[in-house]
Amino acid sequence: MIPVAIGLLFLFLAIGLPVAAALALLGLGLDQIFSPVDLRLAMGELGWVSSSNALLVSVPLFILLGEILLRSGIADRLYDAMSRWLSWLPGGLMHANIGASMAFAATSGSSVATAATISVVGAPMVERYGYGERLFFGSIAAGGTLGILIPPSINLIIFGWLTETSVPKLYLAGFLPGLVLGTGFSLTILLVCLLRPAIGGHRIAVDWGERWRSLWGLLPPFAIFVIVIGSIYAGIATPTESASLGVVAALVLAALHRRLTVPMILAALDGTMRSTGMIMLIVMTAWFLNFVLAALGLISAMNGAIAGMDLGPTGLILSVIALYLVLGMFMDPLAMMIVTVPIIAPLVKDAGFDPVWFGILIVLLCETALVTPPIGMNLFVVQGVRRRGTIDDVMIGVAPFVLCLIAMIGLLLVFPQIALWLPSALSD
Amino acid sequence: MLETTLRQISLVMSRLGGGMLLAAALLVAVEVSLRMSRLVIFSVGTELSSYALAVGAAWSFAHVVFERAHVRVDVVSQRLPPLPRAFFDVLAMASLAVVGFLLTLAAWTTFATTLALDTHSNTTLATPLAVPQGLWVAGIGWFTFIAAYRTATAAAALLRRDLAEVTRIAAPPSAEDEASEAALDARSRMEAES
Amino acid sequence: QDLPDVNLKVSGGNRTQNMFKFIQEPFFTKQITEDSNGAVTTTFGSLDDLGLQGPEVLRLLQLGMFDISEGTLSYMAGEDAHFDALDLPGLTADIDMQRKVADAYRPTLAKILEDKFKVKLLSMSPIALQVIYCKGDIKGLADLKGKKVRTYNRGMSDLVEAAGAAAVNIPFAEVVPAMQRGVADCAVTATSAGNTARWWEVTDSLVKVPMGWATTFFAANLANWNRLDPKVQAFLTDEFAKMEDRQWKQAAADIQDGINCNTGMGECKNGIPADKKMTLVELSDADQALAKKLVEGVLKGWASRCGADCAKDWNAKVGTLLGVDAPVE
Ligand code: NA
Ligand code: NA
Repeated sequence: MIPVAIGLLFLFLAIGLPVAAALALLGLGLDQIFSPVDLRLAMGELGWVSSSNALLVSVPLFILLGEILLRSGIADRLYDAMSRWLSWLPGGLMHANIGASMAFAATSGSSVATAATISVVGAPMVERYGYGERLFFGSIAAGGTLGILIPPSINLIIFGWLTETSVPKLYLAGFLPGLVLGTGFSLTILLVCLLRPAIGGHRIAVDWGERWRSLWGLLPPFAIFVIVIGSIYAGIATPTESASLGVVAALVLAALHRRLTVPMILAALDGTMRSTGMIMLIVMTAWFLNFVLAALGLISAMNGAIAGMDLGPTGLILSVIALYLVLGMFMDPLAMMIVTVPIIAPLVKDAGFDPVWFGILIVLLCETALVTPPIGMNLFVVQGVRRRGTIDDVMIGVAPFVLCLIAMIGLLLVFPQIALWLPSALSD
Repeated sequence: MLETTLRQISLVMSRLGGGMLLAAALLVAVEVSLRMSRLVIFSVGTELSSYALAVGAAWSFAHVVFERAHVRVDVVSQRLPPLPRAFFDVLAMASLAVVGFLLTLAAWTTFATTLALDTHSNTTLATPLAVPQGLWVAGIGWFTFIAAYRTATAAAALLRRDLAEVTRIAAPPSAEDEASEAALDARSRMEAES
Repeated sequence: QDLPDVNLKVSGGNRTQNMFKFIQEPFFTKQITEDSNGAVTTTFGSLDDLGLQGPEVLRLLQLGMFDISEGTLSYMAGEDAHFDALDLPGLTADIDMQRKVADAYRPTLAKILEDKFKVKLLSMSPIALQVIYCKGDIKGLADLKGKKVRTYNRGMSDLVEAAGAAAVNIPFAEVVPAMQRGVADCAVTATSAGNTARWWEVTDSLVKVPMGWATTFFAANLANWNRLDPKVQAFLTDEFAKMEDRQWKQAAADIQDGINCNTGMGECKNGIPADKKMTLVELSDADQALAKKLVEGVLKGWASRCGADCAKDWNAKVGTLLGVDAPVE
C-alpha cells in the first residue's frame, strides 16, 4: 500500500494538481483500491470538524494582523529601520526576516501563521532592496518554523498531552534551542551570502541621523508584540485569544497612522482570505487523507513495525529521526505527531531518554517537515503570498536552512543540555 | 460579463468571510477586556470564532480559484511545452471541481443530518449548528460551481488553441504579470505615504 | 465453538486514557481474537490515530465508516439531550450508585441510539469521575464564587454559573497554559486524566464536587451488525458484557488512583505522583446542601432541553434511585 500511496501522490503533484485536490484524490483513490467502505461520506464530518477547530483560528488572525501592518505602512517603516541598521551585513534584511520570525514566534503558537505574517510583511522588500528571491523566501519559510519551537507552541502542547509531559517544562526547554536555531539560520544566510554576494541585496548609504530617526519605525510593531505576548504571560488571554488582541491593536495603530480606511481594510481582508482559503482547504483534505490511512490500518501497521524492532538506544533515536524525516516529507506535522508519538514516546522513554528532550527533538523534526518538499505547508504559504515564479524557487531557497535544521538536530543529540538546562535550572 | 459578475460575487463572499473573522476577533477582544475588568464574564468568542473560521474559509475558496492561489507543486508540468502545459492547467482546475463536488455532497449530508436532528452545540450558547453548517455548505457549493465554470471556459479555450486564455484562467500567477503588479502595489503605497 | 471469519473496523477512545491502554487495546487487538480462536479480528484505531475530536464519531458510525465505535455521551448531547442524562453534574460521586443509574437508563439510550442513529448499543461505562481542579486555596463550593472555570458541556456551565463562577470555553489543549497564567482559575476533568495531564503542576485544590462521569459507550452500526452471523453476534454480545465489567472496575480504580496520585495520600499505581501535592477538598454538609440547590437549576435546564416525556422517563428510572426529580413541564 505504501508504494502505491507515495507513487500516486507524486504523480498527482507532478502533473500540477493543486495540493488540496491531490491530497483528497489520494485519499479517495486509496479508499477505492484498498477498502470496501465508502469513505467519501466521511469527508463532510471530517471537513467540518477540522475546519471549525478553535486552535486554528489564530492562523488567519495573525495573517490579518500582518496584512494590516503592511497596508498601514507600519511594516515598511519596520523594514526600513532594519535595512538601515542591517544592510552592512552580508544578507542584510534576511537577518531581519529571522529576527522578526523569532519575535513573532514568541507571540504565536503556529509556524504557518508565523511564516504567513513575515512573508506578507517581507515580500515587498525583495524588489525594493534587490535580494535574491530564492534565499529571501527560503529564509522566511525557515524562520517561520520557529513558531512551534519558541513558546507558545501548539505542537509542544499536543506533545505534552500525548506523552504526559509537563507543558511548562517543554516551553522552557524550547526557548534556548529556539535562540540557537534562529542564530543558526542567520549564520546560514551569512555563509550563503559570503559565497554568493550577488543575492545579498544592495547596501544603503549610512547616514547616522536617518538611522536613529528610523528607529521610530520599530515602535509600533514592538507595541503590538508587547500587547500580544503581555496578554499571554499576564494571564489575560490564551494564545488563541491573544491573536484577536493583536488584530485590534494593529487596527488602532493603523488609525493612529491615519491609514484606517475602508479600502485598506478590504485589501487586508482580501490578502488574508487568499492565504486562509488556500491553507484551510489543504488542512481539510490532509485530515481526510490521514483518516483514510488510519482507517485502512496503515498507521497501526507502521506503529507496530517500529515497536517490533529491537534496537539499542542510539539505533532507536536514529531510526525515529529517519522515520520522521521521511514521513515529514508527505504529512502534516501535527497529524504526524498525533499518530506516531503515543507509540514511539514510551519506547524512547524506556530507552532512558528524557521526555522533555524528546519533545524538543520531535518539534525540530516537525519544523523540518514544514519545509521539506513535496508537502510542506510553510513552502505553500510563502509561495501563496509571493504569487510569482514557481514553488521550486522556495524549495531551493530553503534547502540550506534544511541542512541547518538537520545540524541543529545533531547538536541536540550531542548536547541535550541545550534543551534541558533551562528547565532544570529554573526548577528546584 | 458573466465572468466579471461571478468574480465580483466571489470577491464579496470572500470579504464577508474575512469580515466574520474580523468580527470574531473584535468580539474576543471585547470579551477578554470585560473578563480582565471582571465586570461581566461571558465566553462565546472561542465558539463563534471557530464557526467564523470554517465558514469564512469556505466562502473564500471561490475567490482563491479566481486568484489562482490554490497552490500547486508544478515542478514537472511547468517545464512542459505550452500545449501539454495548458492541458495540465485545465486538468488542475478540473480536479478542484471534482473534489469540490464530492466535498459538497458529503458536506450536504452533514448539514442535512444536523438539520434533521436539530443539533445544537452543547454549550451555554446552544448554537443551532445547522446555521454555521448551512453557510459552510453554501461556500463549498459556490466554490464547486466556480471551479466547474473555470474548468469549462479553460477547456473551451484549450479546444480553440487559445493558450494565453488558458494561462489567464488556470495557470499559477506567472512571473511577468505578477512582478509588475507587485511593483505597482509598492509604488502606490509609497505615494500614499508621501 | 466454530465462528465464521470476520474482520471488524473499530474506533476506540484516546490513547492517553488508562481505559484505552489497559482495557480497550488489549480487548480489540488480542482478546477477541483469542477467545474466538482467531475467527474474529479487528482493524482497530484510536481517536487520535484517526484525527477525530469525538463528537462526530456517532455520525461516522451511523454512516458505516466503522462497524463498532466508542463514543462519549456528553460530547453528543447536542444531537439529543438524552445523551446528557447520565452525566448531569452534582448528582452522585458514588460509582456503585452510578452503575445502577446507568443500568436503569440503558433501555432508554439503547432505544434512542437504535431508532434515531441506527446503531446498536453494546456496552456502557464511565471513564472516571469528573471533578474541579483549582488554583489557590479552595475550602468548598462557596469559594468558587467569582472564579473562571473551564467547563466542556452545558450542564457543567449551568452548575458553576449557579455557584457564582463564570464558565469559560477554552480548547482542551490550552487548558494547562491558561491555568498556569490565570486565564482560567479552575477546570473540569477526571481525577485520573488531570493527573496524567499534569494539571497538578498548575493547580492546588482538587474539589470533589461530582461534575459527571464522562460516560462512554460502544455501539455497532446496525446494518453491519445485522449482517453478522448470529453466532458472531452472540459471541460479541457476551464479550462486550465481560469487557464492560472490567471497564467499571478500571474506572473505579482510576478514580481513587487519580486522587492518590494528585494528593500524595495513598499509593499511586498508574498515574504520576504529584511533585506539588494537591489538597483534596471533600464537600462539607453545607456544601452538600448547596450542591443540592445548584442541581435543581441544572435539572431544570436539562429537562427543558430534553422535553416532558424525557424528564418523566428519567424521573422514573434515575430520579427514584437518586432521590431527585427533574421538573416536568
Ligand atoms: Na511560538
Ligand atoms: Na514536508
